[in-house]
Amino acid sequence: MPRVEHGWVSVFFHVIAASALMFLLLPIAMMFPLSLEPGTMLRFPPQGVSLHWYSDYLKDGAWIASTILSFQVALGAALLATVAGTFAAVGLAQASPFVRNAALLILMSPLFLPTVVAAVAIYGVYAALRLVGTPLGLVAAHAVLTIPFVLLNVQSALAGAPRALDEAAMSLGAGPVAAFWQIKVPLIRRGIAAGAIFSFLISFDEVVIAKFLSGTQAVTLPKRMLDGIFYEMTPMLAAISVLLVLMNAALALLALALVRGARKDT
Amino acid sequence: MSTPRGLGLLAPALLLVCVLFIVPLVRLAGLSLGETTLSLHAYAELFGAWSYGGILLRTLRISAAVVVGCLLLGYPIGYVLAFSTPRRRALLSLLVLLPFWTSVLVRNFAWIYLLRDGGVASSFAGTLVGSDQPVQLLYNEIGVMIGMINTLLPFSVFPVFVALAAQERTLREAAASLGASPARVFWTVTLPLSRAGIYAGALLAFATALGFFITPALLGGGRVLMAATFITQQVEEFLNWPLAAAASLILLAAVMILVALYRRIAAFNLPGGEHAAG
Repeated sequence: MPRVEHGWVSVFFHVIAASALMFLLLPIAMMFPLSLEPGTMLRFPPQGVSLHWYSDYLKDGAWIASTILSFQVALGAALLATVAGTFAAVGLAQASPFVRNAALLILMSPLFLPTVVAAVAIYGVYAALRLVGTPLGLVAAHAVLTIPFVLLNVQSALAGAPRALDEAAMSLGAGPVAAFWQIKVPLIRRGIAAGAIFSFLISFDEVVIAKFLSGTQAVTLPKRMLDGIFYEMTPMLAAISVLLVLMNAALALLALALVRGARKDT
Repeated sequence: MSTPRGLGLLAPALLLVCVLFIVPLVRLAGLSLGETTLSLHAYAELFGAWSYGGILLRTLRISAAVVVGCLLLGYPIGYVLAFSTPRRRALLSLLVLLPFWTSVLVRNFAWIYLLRDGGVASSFAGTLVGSDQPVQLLYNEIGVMIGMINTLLPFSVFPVFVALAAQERTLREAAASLGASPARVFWTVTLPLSRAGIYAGALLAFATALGFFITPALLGGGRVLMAATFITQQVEEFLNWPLAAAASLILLAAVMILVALYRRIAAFNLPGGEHAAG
């Protein structure tokens, strides 16, 4: 049983915490009723119950093209970041303290520095190289942004994994490549998978870099939503929001379960 | 050995981050010193003009208010997490993390609807301040602050939780056995000992708030110009790269100082505290 340790302070904090959680969750929950509106105006409560904004979305060529592009970019970015990030995490564990600290500082910097500055900086380079509006340009920029998340997840998986097993395999005659793929990777697979999922999620939802790099040719789903919110608030945006909320919640739950599983393995 | 151990494995990631992040940033730093000839003109312009000073002050003011809001709401959540059974803690942290992993656009879209003129929130706020007129909550600083607190709240929850969970219960028991009332135990023992969590949460939220772009643009409706909006405007509308670059570098420097401070606090007092950023 939770013990009340601080008298009225504890009671007061429980009340505030409950309200704060409502404040966090309410706007997201609002999307569900708003998306059922049969008319063209956002209304709460909705005037009726209709799923036509969902089918309108699925029939709209431009929205679907953006959705498919976002999936492609997010899958590409997650793949690139996961491969590079996993190698890097294993490399960090072997490196000398100096190399480790310097590499960490560089690799983690995209996590801490303002995305808008990164977006402007990359945009400047891409404009010169004619990479604005290309899916490949988005993939590369998003991969850089999400490498820190792969790194964090794989690092904590490595910290929990038994260290000497790959060395034991090598002393029994396995080459370093075989030891890596057959021993190391299976040991940290949950951390790798969690990093890949977080990486996918971040890229799929990313809007600041996409705003600069999408151009007119490669408009991702968040970029199209941003324009929609600016110019025309329709219940279709609520319907898309519901789909996004459900997908993100499912993927985040899966990744968090993997993180927890990786911890239990140890 | 000719190359340091691990460098081969680190190479792909380092190459990606350097080519796509570090080099563009260095190029931006170069641009801030003039496009053709070397000069500090852009910085002089940035610090010389009153209107730019207003943007800087507004960015600092909004970010500071957002940090206060995050702590007032986030500390109680961190507190409840720390003093919960493991089962309830797992459930409650999910309720904090799921919004964190929800698209910022979805939340901003919701706030535009919730805060609009004549909506429930603006009428309710009108009643609260005792006027029969609805209070405007959207397309001004209040709306921007509400949206930013909503996004940054998890950043202040987890450092506070970590600091509180790491506390020895014997300290509280000692205070209670010496006759302190439960509330006094909190104010004189528990709260002061969770200072590191408060500072870390505040720094993390403040550093992130300074660079906010989407929320001020959407909930400020073009009327609340913050640092990131200014940078974007200079690039997209005025094509003034040196000014945009100079403003970017100042923002970058401010955030780097805050992050360095955060890491000092986190390293000493919050084992694993930086995971809150993820």
